Amino acid sequence: MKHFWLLGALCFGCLSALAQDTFQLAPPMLIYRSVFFSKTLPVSMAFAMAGTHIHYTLNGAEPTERDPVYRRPILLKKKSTTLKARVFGNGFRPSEVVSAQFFRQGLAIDEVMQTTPDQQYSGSGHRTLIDGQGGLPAADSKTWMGFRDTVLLGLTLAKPARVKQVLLQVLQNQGAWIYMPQQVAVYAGDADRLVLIGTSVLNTVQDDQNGCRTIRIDLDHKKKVKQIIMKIYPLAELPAGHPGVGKPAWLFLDEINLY
Amino acid sequence: MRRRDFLIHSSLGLAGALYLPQILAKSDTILGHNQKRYRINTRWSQADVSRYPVNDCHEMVQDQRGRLLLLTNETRNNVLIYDKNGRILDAWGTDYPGAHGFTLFNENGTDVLFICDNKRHQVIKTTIDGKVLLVLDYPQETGLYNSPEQYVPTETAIAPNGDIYVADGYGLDYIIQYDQQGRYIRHFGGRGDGPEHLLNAHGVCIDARDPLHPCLVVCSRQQNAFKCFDLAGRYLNTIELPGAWVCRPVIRGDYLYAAVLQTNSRPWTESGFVTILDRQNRVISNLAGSTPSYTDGRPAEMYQTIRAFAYPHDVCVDDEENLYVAQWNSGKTYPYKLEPVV
Repeated sequence: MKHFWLLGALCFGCLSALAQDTFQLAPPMLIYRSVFFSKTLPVSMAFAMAGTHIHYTLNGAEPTERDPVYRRPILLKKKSTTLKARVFGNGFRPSEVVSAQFFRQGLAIDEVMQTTPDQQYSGSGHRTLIDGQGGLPAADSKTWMGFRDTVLLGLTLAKPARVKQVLLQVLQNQGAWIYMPQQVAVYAGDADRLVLIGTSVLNTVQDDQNGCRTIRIDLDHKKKVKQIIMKIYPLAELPAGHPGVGKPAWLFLDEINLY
Repeated sequence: MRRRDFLIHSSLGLAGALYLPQILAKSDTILGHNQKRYRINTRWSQADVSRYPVNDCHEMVQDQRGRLLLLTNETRNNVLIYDKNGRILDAWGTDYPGAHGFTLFNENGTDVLFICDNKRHQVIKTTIDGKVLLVLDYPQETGLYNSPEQYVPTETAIAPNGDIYVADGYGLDYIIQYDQQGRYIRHFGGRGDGPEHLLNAHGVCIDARDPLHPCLVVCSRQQNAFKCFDLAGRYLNTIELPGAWVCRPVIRGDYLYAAVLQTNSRPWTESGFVTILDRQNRVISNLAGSTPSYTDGRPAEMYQTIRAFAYPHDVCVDDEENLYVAQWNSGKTYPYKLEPVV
């Protein structure tokens, strides 16, 4: 009978052990002035807690403890880099992965004209979409222009060039009614006529990943162009299950690059 | 094993799962920095969820009998009364759907409570067991409000002379001062670009750490700051807390404690922690937050490091220096207890 009591005590001990909390660490802070840069870009990370380390990758892979430990700012140079970072520490579950995508700026653009943004989210002047500033996930950052209607947009290149790709950076924050656009159409400009050279139709409703997002559209046009015209269609109706179901979504745009 | 023994032992195991002695429920995780470090106990509350449910747990206070009173916007029991071991002693209140601010004042030896209800757009003064003593409606006297809906009070602070300061933290961000009987005296704060203006004046308290110069400490939560005023509403100074959405300041001894609902670096993702400031209003400890550091007198941006809290909303410090943390929108969790580590 004696050892049965022991068994009981053991069960009790196991249950009690299960009741102990093992907390997860929070993700590290990524610090940068913009995700766009002309030649090089320093990126810092921060996590002020003794006994922890930030591990990171620059190739898109999920960071593990075998990946490099962050010690000093990283200098990015490549055309496009995905930084992923996560914190590890004894006695805690590792943090979630935090990531950001960085881009070298594309062809020089002289001028941009677009539909007037909403007054509340009007960016920081007429060059907002080509000023090289973007990728800050706070919707109230002055890098964003917010729209509720179809956006018509014209870009004038510094000199005629063959444009192979358009890169748009948008914000998705579904709780704040901000969604990726439904459709983007790209036209090559000509005084007399416009030629459709690329489109992108997005499955906005099923994509629920919030944060800064990029849309890349490959163009099918062999000639050099001086002007690019775009039409960007916000999601017309918020989907079922959203508190604003049926109403139009917001579209937030902070930068456009041509390659 | 005989069937009878098996039943005995499995029921013992079950009892273990249902009732965890406090000593075993304590975690090994220690939060905080410097002289303010605590062991967290997330299973402090022994409340039976079917009898004493909670929704958002907004604020907590301790009365002169040592009991801990929790205010929740669950109208089955707006006030839960605990002993320090987390056992429920009493409960009352079914009329406070927007129960948010909870302040205890010792009025000539008797404890009275002030509840800010942000759905009723009222401040209600009650006895310690819930009898209504006074109701303050929206402050028409200011000439600033056209309807009760514009007034969404979140907190009160009571001066030693009985004056009542109400923070309209989800309304127009004014602080409205009344006398003990509820007669309007003045208002200050409000929105604007000046240093004396407020954005999300979510909490207010009387700071008498310097007994010769008592002042009001007011949250300007979306500006990540506390702003100090004298008791006549004149602006004194700002305490910057970069990155931190600070809820009401709570003062005990030389220290100021505050729940940080969330941080700028990770908004609306359960990024809260608890901050503690010393007598000079310098951050000395962040519980589940970044190690405090200053450059040229300004604190570094603060952020969550351990996901121990989701959206902490208030800190209560008891007479033995234990902390209790109540949380908003955090899966109807009951308060956590944090015991000092010496």
